[in-house]
Amino acid sequence: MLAYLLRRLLSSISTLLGVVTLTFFALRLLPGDPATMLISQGGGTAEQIAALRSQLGLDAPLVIQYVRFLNGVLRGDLGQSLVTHRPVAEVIAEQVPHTVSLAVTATLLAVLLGVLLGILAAASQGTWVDGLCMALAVVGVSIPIPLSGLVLIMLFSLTLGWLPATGQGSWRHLIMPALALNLAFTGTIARLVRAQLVEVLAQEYIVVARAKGLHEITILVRHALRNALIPVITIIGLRFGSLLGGTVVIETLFSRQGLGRLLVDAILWKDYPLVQGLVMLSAVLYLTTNLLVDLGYGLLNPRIHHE
Amino acid sequence: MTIRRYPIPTRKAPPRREIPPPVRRRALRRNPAGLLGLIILTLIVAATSLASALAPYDPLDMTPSQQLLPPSLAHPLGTDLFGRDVLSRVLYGARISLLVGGLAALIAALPGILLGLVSGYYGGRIDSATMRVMDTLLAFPGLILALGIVAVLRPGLSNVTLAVGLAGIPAYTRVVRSSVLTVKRSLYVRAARAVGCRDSRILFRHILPNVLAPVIVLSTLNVGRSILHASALSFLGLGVQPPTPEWGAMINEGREILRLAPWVSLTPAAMILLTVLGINLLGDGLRDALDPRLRA
Repeated sequence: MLAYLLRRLLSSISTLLGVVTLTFFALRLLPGDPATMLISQGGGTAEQIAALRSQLGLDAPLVIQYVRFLNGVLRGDLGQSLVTHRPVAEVIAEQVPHTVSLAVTATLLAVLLGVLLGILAAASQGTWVDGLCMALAVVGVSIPIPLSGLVLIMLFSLTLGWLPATGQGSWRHLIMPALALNLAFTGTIARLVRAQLVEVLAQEYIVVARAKGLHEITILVRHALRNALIPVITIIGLRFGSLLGGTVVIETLFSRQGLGRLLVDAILWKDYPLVQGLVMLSAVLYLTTNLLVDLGYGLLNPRIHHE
Repeated sequence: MTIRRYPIPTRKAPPRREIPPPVRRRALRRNPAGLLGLIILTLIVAATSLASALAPYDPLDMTPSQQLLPPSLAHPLGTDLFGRDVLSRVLYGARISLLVGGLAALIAALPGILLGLVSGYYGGRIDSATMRVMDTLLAFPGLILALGIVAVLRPGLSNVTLAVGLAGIPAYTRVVRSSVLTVKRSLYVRAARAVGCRDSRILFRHILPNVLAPVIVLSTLNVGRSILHASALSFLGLGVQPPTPEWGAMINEGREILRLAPWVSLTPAAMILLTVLGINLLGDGLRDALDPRLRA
């Protein structure tokens, strides 16, 4: 187990290094140089640009720049925003709480709804209820995030007037974006839970439980669900790491602040250090959750021995 | 008591077992959802290719006097902020969305398959280097990777197609590589090598056809994913630029006037749903038919 842990950690770190390297060189691929862009807003002479270049270390050889960049990343220094002239790390840190609260709510809602839908479908296997649940799940998987958001806004804000359509601040602002963000995931979970339950329900120990005269709900929840949930937990972790992609659309649609909106704005403003920091952050987030899931997996399922 | 007569066995063939039709076709026929997907897609593609005949108006034609008209006989899906006919725009928009989705899937598939073949077949250093890069790319959420590429390439339709396509490469490489690893150990590949076939012949004539099933499934689903991502990028204002009718951009145009004219946003959004739903249904059906191992 320990050896596995170490190997897994090492491979994550090497991928992380790859991520940092890739984002570094991607930025250098850009036409135009950061110093010119930094100055061009105020207008500047060639000397000023040259001075800034050496101040930013842009006149050093690429390898040196790369080492400096790595060093900076390790110390949490991601450079300076071209637009606000503030440290990128600071700008990003400001937006983290907005997006994290959204992502956590979205995940909780998706798990709750998805598991319920999956149980309902598996318990009524082969009936129209099952068909309906699975049809809902397929639609959920295929629905574009803007559409789920728009439909929710139409229903709960414009027609019923229960929830505010845009903005942020209270839990009421959080429900619709969270639901819309993870509708696809809800569908995925529902299908997975159903598939797992159907398989588990055919096992002998379930037959035994039934023969003992246990209530069907007890069998489902106490005996079957427990074993069916392990793969669900894996994919929750994987999905959580990639939620940032969806928040880009959701935060725009619901006029919320957050990392996703920040990324879009950074691209539109051509604020490349900020783009670099955010893209890197998303990969780091993904790799970390991935690692945690892998490690937690072994604890949840003692049958899996890491070789 | 009756005496049961047993038929005297004749020398005729044993009771005829029904010869099953090829697994693939049978499975698709037994899969009504997959068939439904195929029908939806056929209808959409048909409507798209006939857009110029079906669309009642020019999708770019602005008529200021006809702003935000609700659906009517003259404008079955209403008009938008500039008095343009939404039905015509949605029909023409389908062309762009399908084209972008298809092209992006192709851009992802060709290098992805090639890398997967080479990586799986040769193994060793080539393999570990390729997979290292792919793992790195897979660490970025798909849409974020596409966004990052768009940031480097600058916004626009062709760059969005390229970005969404490039972001799809690693998935192909992974799937193809893992299939190649199994196939390359099979007897016919060893036989081909023994006969003295060149590597390229073994790769493309012997291995490729046998790893194609998961690739077809992945490609189908990938077209749907590409359409979703491309429309998301256009929705964010990074893809197709305004007057051109594209579904994602149209959703964005109608976002502010949702209360006044919900049809402007909802129609293109519903079209994306329908298209992607059709693709996913077909993809699921194909997966069950071609490669049950991939089932989630």
